[in-house]
Amino acid sequence: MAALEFEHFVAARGPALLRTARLLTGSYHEAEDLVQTVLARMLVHWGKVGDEFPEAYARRALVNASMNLRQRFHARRSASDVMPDAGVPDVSESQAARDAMWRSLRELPRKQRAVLVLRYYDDYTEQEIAQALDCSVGTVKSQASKALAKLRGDASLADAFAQAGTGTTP
Amino acid sequence: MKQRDTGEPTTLLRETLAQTLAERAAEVVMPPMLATMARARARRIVVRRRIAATAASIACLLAVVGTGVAVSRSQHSGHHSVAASLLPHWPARGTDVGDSAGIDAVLRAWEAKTGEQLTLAQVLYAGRDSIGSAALLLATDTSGHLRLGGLVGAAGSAWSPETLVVDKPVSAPLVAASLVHEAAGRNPVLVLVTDPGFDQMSWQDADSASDASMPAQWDSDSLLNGVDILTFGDPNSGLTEVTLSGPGRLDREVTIDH
Repeated sequence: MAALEFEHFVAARGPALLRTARLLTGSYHEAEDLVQTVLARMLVHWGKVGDEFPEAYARRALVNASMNLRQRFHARRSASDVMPDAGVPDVSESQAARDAMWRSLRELPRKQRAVLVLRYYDDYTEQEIAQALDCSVGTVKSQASKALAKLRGDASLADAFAQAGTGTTP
Repeated sequence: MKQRDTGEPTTLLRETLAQTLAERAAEVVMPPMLATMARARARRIVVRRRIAATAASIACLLAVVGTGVAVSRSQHSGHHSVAASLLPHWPARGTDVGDSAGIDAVLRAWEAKTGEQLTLAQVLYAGRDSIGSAALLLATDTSGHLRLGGLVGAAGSAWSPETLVVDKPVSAPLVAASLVHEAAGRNPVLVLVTDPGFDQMSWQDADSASDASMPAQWDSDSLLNGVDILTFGDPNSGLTEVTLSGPGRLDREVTIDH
């Protein structure tokens, strides 16, 4: 019975978890690894987790696990400027702006990045983000503020916006 | 006056951010075996936990044994001659080994404890003195299997089933047993010596009725060098310690390192 519930949960929510993990980690392969790890932990404790809010548990575990993963990711990446999963810039200016945005996002500290992903992709409220990150709403606000300020101050992102013809600083 | 950053981005930045996230998320393709892979990983987690728990148990056991040996050595470092004086009499069988009334009493106590009808096969040790008493018997149960049972009692007390310190099936005969309370310098201690043919040794703490066991192979190879010797304290103090090593054959000199 528990096995069937788990199968249903993975089938229903697996893709969404994987997409969030992709945004949190910046890498598809790390995202898949992360989701597998989280789901495996959930399965071990499915008796407790499955009866309550498996989705919320999974999200929270995913964010927390991504924090550790991102630490390793940063450590690795500091040795090289090559971004293996950075994507190829598109010929269109708007696509170039989004590529620049993606690169800027990947440069953000893990917690700030998680706040932006949960807020602007998963449509979480500040309260929900605070619960997922196990911090206060005030911390969420300050982290979001700092993250957006960094994006606004990113020169490459500003250039991309300028080339896209907006003529304004984002 | 410095304007406070409210955290709200411009519309363009916010839209680009949301579009970027959606676009990158859309690149994700659900792997077909995600649940299966997660299940395999969960199994590995469970196995790793079991291994860790087993390792912790073994480490704990080693620590207990090591501490017992260290304490024994520190307490008796100056009394090697006392321990050595016991050895010429080894294996002692006790002064009551031929006392059928006493042996029958032990057997009845053992049967009361186990609920098995037992037939005496061999008295390995039976003796009592001013310090305490102990008996160790081999008997066959109703299925014809050989079992090992033993009692330890305080001086002058009647044999009681509550003092049963060992009751286990055996696959090989016990080689010898001895009461060495003089060497321990305190409560009566029943020493069991087995050959390495034992598939497993176990003992029961008479005080807490807890049971512990360890593979004889581990015991023989790494700790006791081919001769397994366990010591049992009296019912009030429970299991005391595993104290000594030996060269592997009882007809050679065996040192009790108290």
